[in-house]
Amino acid sequence: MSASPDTVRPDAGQGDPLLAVEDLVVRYDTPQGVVHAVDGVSLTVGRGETLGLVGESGCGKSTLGRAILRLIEPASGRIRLDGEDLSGKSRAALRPIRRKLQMVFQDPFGSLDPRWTVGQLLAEPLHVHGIGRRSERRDRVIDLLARVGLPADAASRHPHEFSGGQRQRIGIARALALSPALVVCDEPVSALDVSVQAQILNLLDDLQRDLGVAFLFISHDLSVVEHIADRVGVMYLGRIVETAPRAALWRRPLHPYTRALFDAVPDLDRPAERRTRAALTGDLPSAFAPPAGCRFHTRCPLAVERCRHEAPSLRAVGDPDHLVACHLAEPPSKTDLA
Amino acid sequence: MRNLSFQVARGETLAIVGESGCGKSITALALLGLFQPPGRAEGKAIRLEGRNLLGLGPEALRDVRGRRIAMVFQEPMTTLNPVLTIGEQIVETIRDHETVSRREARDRALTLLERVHIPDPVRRFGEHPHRLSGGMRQRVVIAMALACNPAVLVADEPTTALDVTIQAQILDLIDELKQGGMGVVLITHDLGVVAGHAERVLVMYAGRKVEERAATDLFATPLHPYTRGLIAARPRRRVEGGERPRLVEIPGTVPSLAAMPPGCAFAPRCALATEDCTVAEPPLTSLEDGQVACLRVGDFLAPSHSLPHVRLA
Repeated sequence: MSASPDTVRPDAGQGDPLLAVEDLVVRYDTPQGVVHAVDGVSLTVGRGETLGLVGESGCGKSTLGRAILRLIEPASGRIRLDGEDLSGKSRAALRPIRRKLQMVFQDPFGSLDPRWTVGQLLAEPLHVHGIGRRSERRDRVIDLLARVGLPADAASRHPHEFSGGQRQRIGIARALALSPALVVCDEPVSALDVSVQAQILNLLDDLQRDLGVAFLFISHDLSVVEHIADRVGVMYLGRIVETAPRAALWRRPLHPYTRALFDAVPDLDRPAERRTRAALTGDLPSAFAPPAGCRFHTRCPLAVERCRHEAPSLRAVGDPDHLVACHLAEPPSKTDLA
Repeated sequence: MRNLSFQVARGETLAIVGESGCGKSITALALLGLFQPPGRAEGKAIRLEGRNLLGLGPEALRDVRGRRIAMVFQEPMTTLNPVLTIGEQIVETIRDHETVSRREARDRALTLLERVHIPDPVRRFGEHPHRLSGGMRQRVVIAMALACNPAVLVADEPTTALDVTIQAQILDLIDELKQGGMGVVLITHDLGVVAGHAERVLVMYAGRKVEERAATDLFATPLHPYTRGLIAARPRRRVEGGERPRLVEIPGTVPSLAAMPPGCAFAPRCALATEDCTVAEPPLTSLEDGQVACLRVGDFLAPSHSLPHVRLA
């Protein structure tokens, strides 16, 4: 397993980051063997910031999100929130910290009791953490509903009575109940129609502006991530292959995988052009036996001998905030800058 | 789904676009006569190469299905049989519709696997579907659909379950088949997919066609307020360094079939709706390059709106 010493430090100089993940490893033991779903990932999220995490299925982005909340136990690595180390803490010791860290899922009610009313669902986190008296909790529920654009009478209804977009509003309200500093959003708009997706993305934008909450926004959809993220990490087979501020990444993607991903996105703004893109050939390698060296080398159009046996670590190329794990990435030449 | 008319030419892709519940998948099932009671297709005709499919009995329809018109679904495992090898399934499909020897069917199956760019087809021929990735499975399904050289391929969200790099490969493959003269009906919720791969676009809302145009025209000058909303609601390439932009929302949600509003079904969500819009369903207006169903379309076509490609026919 790799132990990349590089840490993504985007907000260096602005004090401690809100979330700092260092060299996190998550393993799954399956009948077919061990999978390193997350293999030595380091990242930070600043206060009030949105870090977008993109990658295709099986890249480990959802596992990473769940491991940060300790919904999955990491095998090794450190997770610090607000300077406090979450790793190795017992469930009970974790509870006060967990208030600051919440999650929004693609299907907000997959794991919840469908017989509960929306009001009960929203009050439950408050109840668990012993916050407020009954009447205060009721007021808080009404506040939360208003916050996410739902009427007060929604409290007495059941989730199944709502549309997909409204259900996601309820899921967001539940995540906000404890006034968290960071919300991990795992594909929050992927199941929604485009018109409703826009409503939810605008809502998340409003909440960040008004409440200063930070988001770790996990998505397979690059256009959604470009819209919402301040910084972006690109994952491939359990590792971060590139990370940069949003504008820098789209201006000059450095990793061949990032470029292939960008090329593959259907672009509405250039509909007439039949783009001649270098489509990635082949499939994702098996997670049970990831390729040696750079994990992307089996699909990479540029791979050289070195890529087959030496794993590249994240390094800055030019811009100190723009890190890439590729042996071949070079600093921008003068002609690029011109 | 009501009063839907459209055509697909050889070597053309018609995209049917809409959000969940708009009736686009029902349209696909109707094309193939795959309704389960109490569902049923009524109407003037579904003509394929001059023949009316609505007049055919179940036997004749089954023959057309697979031989002249074939279908690819979102989830390849709905089509594939998990206990048979890839090869057996393609051979079976060929021999279902044609009297050919097992050997000839096998040769054709291998050619089909090559045609959909499955690497190492001889080895894949003997493998079961679960050994393949999602993208490879979808290629196998397309190979089965091509088994009898259909004139029309109906693809219902063929790439929705796939990763974006694999999606690009499958869409390129469908384009390649279209170049061979096949007509394609591509059903999707994703306007981005349409922009690169369809010649014409039909936008559906609440079971009706609201706009049908050449793809380039639709994206340059969308006319129906719903089409405009769909295009505007998509996140766009952002300008450097700017604030996070607001996305254009379409307020509310799609009406349920049980509670369809009177008049134009989109009126309750439409910023441009007038009282007239809530009275009668707007008729389809013919344009030089297509059709649109909106009472206010005359206003958009006024000279002040300067839409160069669009004129009432």
